[in-house]
Amino acid sequence: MDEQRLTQPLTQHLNIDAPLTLSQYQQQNGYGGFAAALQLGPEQVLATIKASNLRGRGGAGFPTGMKWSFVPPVGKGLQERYLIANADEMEPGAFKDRWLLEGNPHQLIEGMLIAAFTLSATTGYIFLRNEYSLASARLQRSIEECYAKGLLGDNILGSELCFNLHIHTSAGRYICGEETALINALEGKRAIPRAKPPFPQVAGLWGSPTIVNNVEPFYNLPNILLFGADWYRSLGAAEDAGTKIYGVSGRVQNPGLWELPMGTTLREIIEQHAGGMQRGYQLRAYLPGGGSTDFLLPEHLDTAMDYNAISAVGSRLGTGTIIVLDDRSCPVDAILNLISFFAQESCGWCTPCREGLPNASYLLAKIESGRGEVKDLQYLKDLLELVSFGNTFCALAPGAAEPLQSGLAFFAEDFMAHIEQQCCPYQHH
Amino acid sequence: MEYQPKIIAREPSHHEIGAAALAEIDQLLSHYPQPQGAAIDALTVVQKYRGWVSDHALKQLAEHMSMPVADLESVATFYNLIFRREVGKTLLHPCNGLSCQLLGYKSIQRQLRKEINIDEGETSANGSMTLISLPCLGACDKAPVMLLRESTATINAAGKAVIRDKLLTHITTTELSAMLDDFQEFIHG
Repeated sequence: MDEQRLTQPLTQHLNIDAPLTLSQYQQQNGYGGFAAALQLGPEQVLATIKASNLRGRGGAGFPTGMKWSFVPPVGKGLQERYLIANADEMEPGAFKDRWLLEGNPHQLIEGMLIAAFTLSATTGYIFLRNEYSLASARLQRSIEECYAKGLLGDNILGSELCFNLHIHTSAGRYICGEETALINALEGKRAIPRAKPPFPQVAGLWGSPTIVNNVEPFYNLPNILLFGADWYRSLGAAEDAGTKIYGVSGRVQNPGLWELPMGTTLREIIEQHAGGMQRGYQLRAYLPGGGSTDFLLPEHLDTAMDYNAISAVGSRLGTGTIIVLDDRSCPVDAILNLISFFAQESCGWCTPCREGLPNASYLLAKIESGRGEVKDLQYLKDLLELVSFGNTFCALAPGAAEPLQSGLAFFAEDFMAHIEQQCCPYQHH
Repeated sequence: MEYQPKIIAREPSHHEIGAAALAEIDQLLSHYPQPQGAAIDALTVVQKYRGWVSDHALKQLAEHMSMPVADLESVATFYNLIFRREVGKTLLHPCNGLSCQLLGYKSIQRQLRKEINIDEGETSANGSMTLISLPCLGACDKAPVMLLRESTATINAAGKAVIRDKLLTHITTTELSAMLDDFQEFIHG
C-alpha cells in the first residue's frame, strides 16, 4: 500500500482470527521498517522518531523520542541495556492492547527491534498480562519464527545487533503498569514503585539503562520508518500526530475499537463509530481514557480526543478507551466500582494510597447502600486532598481520585439523593 | 461465643515439584541475568502443575532458585494470581470491571454464588470450582465477560503442559448454567 492511502498503519494487517505468520507479514512489507532503520543508523532513527511527534499511549503521553534520548550513550556505564514492552493492560475499560497483540504480534516485535537497534538494547521483555493467554501463545509462536529466520538472536540480518526477546507472564496487580513497579516485578520482587530519579532510562532493570514503552507506540514505529515523520504527522486530525486506537464500552449500540486519526472528536467516536446509545438509554457522562480519568459530560462531545484538548476540558486522554455511563446506571455505584478497584490494587507502599483509597471505598459503599450522611461528602473531599499529587509515591492514587473528584461535582444531586432517601434511587427492585 | 480454632487441612507430604516443572523453570531462568528475575514465572509454573503453591513447594522452589524462602513468599503473596491455598478444578473469573458492571456483572456473580453455593474466594464442596472475580479483563466491548480456567495444566497434542481457558462473552444469566456445563465438557470431554 502506498503512503498516500495508508491511513490505518497500526491495524492494516490486523487479523484476529488468523494473525499473519512471519512470511505472510514479510510479504506485506513487514520488517521493512526495521530494514529501513538498519539503513538509517541509530542517530537518524532517533531523529525521525523525534520529528514524528510520537507520544506515549499508556496515559502520560510523554514524547517517545525524548524518552529514548535520556538513555546514556553506549560506552558509558553498564553495557547491558533493556527494552520492555508494557503489555500489562489493566486500566478499567482498556481493551486495545489485547486487540493489537492478538491480531498482529509481528508488528510489536518489529517495533521492538527498531527500538532495540536505536537504543543498542541487548535484551527485551514483553511484560504480558496473565489473563491474555491467546496473545501469549501467538506472541510466543511469532518470537520462535523470528529466531528461526535470524530476526532475533545474534547478528540480526547480518548486522551487529544482538537482541533476545522474552515474554514475562505477569501474575496480576494493576500497579505493574507503573514502569518502575514493572521493573521490580521483572526482577522477581513485589511490584512497588521506585523513587525517581534515577529514571529507568539511566538506571532501571538490574541497574542498567532501561526503556519501558506501552504496546501501542511500538506498533507505530515500523511505518514511521517506512514513510517518514512528515507522513506520520499528517495523519493526525488535530494537534497531535498519527493515529490512535479508540474504544467505547458501556450501553452503546456498537461497542468496539477503531483506529482513527489522533484528535478525532468524542462525538464522532461515540455517536458515529459506537453508534450512539442503546435504545432507551441516554448518555449521562463518560470517562474518556479509562478508569483513572475525570468524567466528562455530553457538553464536551465536540472536543478532539488528543492530549491537550482533553486536558483543556478537565480530563485526560489516558488510554483513549471510553467508558460510557448511561442515565439508568447509578453514578455513585460506578464510582464505588472504580475506587474499590484502585483500593484493592494499591501496592500498600505509601500511606495516603494504602489508607486513603479503602476509606474512600468504605464511604462510597456506605452512601450507595443508603447509610450515608452529609458529612461523608466532606470526608470524601478531604481524602481527595490526601491522595493528591505530591502526597503519594506514584500516580495510582491521584489517578484513582480523578473519577471521584469529577463525580462528586457532576453527580452532586445523586449523592444527595442517596443520603436523603437513605437508599440508592436507581435500584428499582 | 467460645473460640473455635480454624482447622487447616495438612498439606500432603508428596507435594513435590516434579521434573517437568523443574525443567520448565530452568528454561525460564535462562531468560534473566539473576535467578530471582524468574521468581514470578517459576511460581506460575509450579502452580500450573499443582493448581496452587503449597508451603512445601515454596520451600523447594526457593532452594532451587537460591532465594530466601521469605523473599519468595513475599512475592507469592503479593501477586493475586499466585494461589497459596488449594483451589478447585475450574476457576471462575467473572470480570468486575466497570464496563462489565454496567452490563450485568452483579447479577452474574449473584447467580454463580447461588448455583454453586459459594461466596467470593471460596471453593465448592466437591472441589470442582473456585469463584474469584477479577478486575477488568480487557474485553469491554463484549461485556459482561468471564474467564474460565483449568487450575492445573493439561498436556496438549505437542506434549506441552498448558492451562486451558475460555473467555465467555456477552453473558446472560439465562445462558450462564449452560455455559458452565459446556466448559466442564470442554475440560473433561
